[in-house]
Amino acid sequence: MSLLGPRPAVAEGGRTFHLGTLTPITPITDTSPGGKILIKVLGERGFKIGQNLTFEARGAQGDVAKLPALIAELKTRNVDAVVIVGYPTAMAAKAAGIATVAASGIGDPVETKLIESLAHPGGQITGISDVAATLSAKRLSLLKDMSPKLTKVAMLWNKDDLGMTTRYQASAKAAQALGLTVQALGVREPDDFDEAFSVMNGDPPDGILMVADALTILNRKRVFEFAAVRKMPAIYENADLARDGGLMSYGADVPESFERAAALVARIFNGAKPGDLPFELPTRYPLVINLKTAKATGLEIPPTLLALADEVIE
Amino acid sequence: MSISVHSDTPQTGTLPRTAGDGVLSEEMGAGIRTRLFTKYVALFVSVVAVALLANGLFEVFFYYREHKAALIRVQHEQAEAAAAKISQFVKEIESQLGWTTQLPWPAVRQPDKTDQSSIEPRRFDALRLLRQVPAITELAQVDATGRERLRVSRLAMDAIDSGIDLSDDPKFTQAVAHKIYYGPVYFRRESEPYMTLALAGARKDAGVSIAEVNLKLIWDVVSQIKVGEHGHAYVVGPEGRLIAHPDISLVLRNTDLSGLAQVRAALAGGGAMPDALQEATNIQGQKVLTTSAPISPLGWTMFVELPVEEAYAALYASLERLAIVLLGASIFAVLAGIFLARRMVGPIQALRTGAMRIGGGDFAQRISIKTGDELEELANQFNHMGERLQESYADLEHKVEQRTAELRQSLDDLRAAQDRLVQTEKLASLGQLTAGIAHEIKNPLNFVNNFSSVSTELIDELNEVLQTATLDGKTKNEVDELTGMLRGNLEKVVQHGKRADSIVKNMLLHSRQGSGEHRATEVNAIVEESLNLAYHGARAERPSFNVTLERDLDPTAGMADIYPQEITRVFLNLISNGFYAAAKRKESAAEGFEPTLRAATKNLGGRVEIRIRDNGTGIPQEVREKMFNPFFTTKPAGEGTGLGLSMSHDIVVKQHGGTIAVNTEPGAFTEFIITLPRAMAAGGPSGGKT
Repeated sequence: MSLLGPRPAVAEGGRTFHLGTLTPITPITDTSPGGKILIKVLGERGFKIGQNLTFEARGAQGDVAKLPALIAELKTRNVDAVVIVGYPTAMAAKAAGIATVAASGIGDPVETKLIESLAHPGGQITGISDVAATLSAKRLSLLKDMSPKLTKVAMLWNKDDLGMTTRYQASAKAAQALGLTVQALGVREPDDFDEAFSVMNGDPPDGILMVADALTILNRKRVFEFAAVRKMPAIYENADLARDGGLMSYGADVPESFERAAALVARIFNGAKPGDLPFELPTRYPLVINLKTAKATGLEIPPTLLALADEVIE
Repeated sequence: MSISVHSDTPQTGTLPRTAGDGVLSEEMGAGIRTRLFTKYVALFVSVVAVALLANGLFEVFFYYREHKAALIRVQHEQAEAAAAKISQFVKEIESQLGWTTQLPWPAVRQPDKTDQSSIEPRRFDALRLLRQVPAITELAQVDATGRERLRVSRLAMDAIDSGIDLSDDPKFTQAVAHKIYYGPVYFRRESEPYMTLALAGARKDAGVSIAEVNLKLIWDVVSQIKVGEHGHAYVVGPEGRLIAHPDISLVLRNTDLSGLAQVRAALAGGGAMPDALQEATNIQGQKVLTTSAPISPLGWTMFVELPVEEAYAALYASLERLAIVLLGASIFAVLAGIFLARRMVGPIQALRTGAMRIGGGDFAQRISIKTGDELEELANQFNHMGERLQESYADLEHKVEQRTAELRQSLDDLRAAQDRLVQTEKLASLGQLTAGIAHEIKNPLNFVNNFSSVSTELIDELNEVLQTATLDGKTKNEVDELTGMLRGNLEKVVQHGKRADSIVKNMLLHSRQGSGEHRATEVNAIVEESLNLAYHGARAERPSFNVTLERDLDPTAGMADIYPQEITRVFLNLISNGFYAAAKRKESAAEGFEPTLRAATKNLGGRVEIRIRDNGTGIPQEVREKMFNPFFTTKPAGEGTGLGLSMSHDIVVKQHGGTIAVNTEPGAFTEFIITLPRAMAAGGPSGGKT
């Protein structure tokens, strides 16, 4: 007797599925936190490494120009789906017409015209949308909660990244509502950071908001150091940056995003068209505060804020 | 069991048809065998199959009903449990939200420092609520006048004293009126399902807390509800919109399920659906068993569905098992049927063949059936019947043979009697004729004889006369010659006259009836006497005659009532004939031949048999036919009258009622067999009877 219902892919004629991952920075390997989640969730759904799943991880190491070539390479490897991070990667994947699941960091895909609508993305892409644009305002308010005296905030973002640009625009609007002035520090390449730092040296802001993308993440340490030296509160977009030495972060929960991305990949493996799978929105937005950094920087964290933190790094 | 049809004896020529018939009936028999065989097998199989099928169908039917009822019950329980979980989920949000409606809002909004400081803890509480309840994306607090005092959000900046007037908004009015308000499900960005949950504080001045609840979080609840292997639970809103489904894409796509029959039925029935709709098609087009339960107080409906294939997998498995059992049982029934039919039909076949062969006449046929039951008994009875038939048949044949022999004997006897009768009648008429003739001839013959005697005397007288007369010598010689010739002639006349006289006498004797007297006479004595008479007669006639006489006289021959003279004449006649034939043979036979005559008597009870046998020339066939005719003789003229045998025949047959037969072989022997009844028949001579 055969069941007509959905079945685990294991039973589908012993076919092996190929999953690719691509980020603008370091690859999501099977040992990285995101990769582990992908493999774990796919394993729960019947796709197991060594049995019927292969895993190809690629990273552009900060050079977004390499992304199309990497996508093409994955395409020649006949990957069934590619999990990507970041807006430029999504653009490259879209151009290549490969089945894509965006795990995080692509901004608002409708606003960036990556897709038609969340419910019906169309094309070959689905994934987890982040509402980073609106979240930027939230981050500014959190920064203000952190440092109530805050009046001027420096915003670091990649001018070349459309996803980042929209965030900057949204943040700037929010800043005005909060009575803050925004020091816009758009960067295009690593060298631009020196200029940004010198601007901040010349006109010190009260805090820093770093919009995460390949470029900014690659140069995160310099930002951390700068903030530490200047005893400046800084807020970042994802928990990894806070864990890595940033003061605080507020953004979509990365494990959750990867879990959902893995679920979408499984759906694609099972024959669903990515364009038919609605984009999902994150539900959890953890607030991470790095007390170590705070102490090292000599910053006092308001107890109410600390109480609200989902994760405190000590 | 051993069955064989065999003949005890080899096939005899008495049954030429049976071989051909056997072939024919074997062919016929094959057809019959198949029918009976098939009938038996079919009967057996159908009996077993009907029993099994009936049992199986009953089992399947009731199992199906019970299984389905149980499934529905379990599913219904699952649906209710799931609905309770969703209710619980909402209730938890409610109770968490309750904490935010404990404190009263100052009646008048005073935008001063104290107000600012009083709102800060509320903001903190609200943010903590957000942290604790992930489903609440946004929380607004409205004071008793309907003005929004605080709004915190996960995504947006917090708003304090935005001043938005919600006093006419159902979120506020309904919450104030009913303490709680469940807003309609709406989809943010046309994707994420949301619901407004507004809760009024216990105190009137505590205002209302309005939470925007992300219903996607129900997904966690729904996807954890396990319904079988491939079944699932989902939640549908009052308008048929999908609120929660394990396939979150369906929810995010804002799927309208009101097209599904079960959803329509459940919505019409206030959350519960009629039993008739338990089997339906789901959104994926799968056939499912589905039940629903209302989720109070939200007005949503929880559906639980299980693919029909999975739901009925156990049923199908039991059906499969039943089919296998049925198949196995059918095969077994066929085999058992074949076996039993063989057991039945084999002996019957053997019986049939045996009966057929017995019917065909082969009574030696035996049927060997060793089944140890009634059939064997039947076969034994068949064999017994065959035996009896065989015996009867043999007996019958024997009797028929006997009767046939008797009949043949009777026929032969009848024929002989008839011949004899004809012969006797012929001889009788001839005898009468002869007597008549003899009588008529006797007188003239007497004249001839007498006158020739006288003439001879007269010649003597003539010679005397002439003696005295003087006659010359020549004349005298002539006279003497003539008288001598006359005398010679007369002597011949006399001689032949006497012979004729003898013939006539014999003829008269022949015709004479009942001469002498009949009396009881010793048969052996009369035979002995006849032998002596004949022998001496023959010696007297021819002194050189010699013959060996053998006597084989039965001492018990006894007496017979006969005419002794007549019978002696017969014996003399026969013995003389024997002497004649023996002597005749000796003339031509080689040296050393000894003429022998043998006389024998034998007591035959009511009759006595006398045999006169010589080893003479025998009687040729053509003579034998005529030898009892009067005047028939083979002897040279003058030696026999041809009346001896004829007369003997008349004496034995007509006078004594006996028989006379001859047994002869030319050149070897002749034997006359005379049988005489001991007592003559009262009716006198009427030969022919034995």
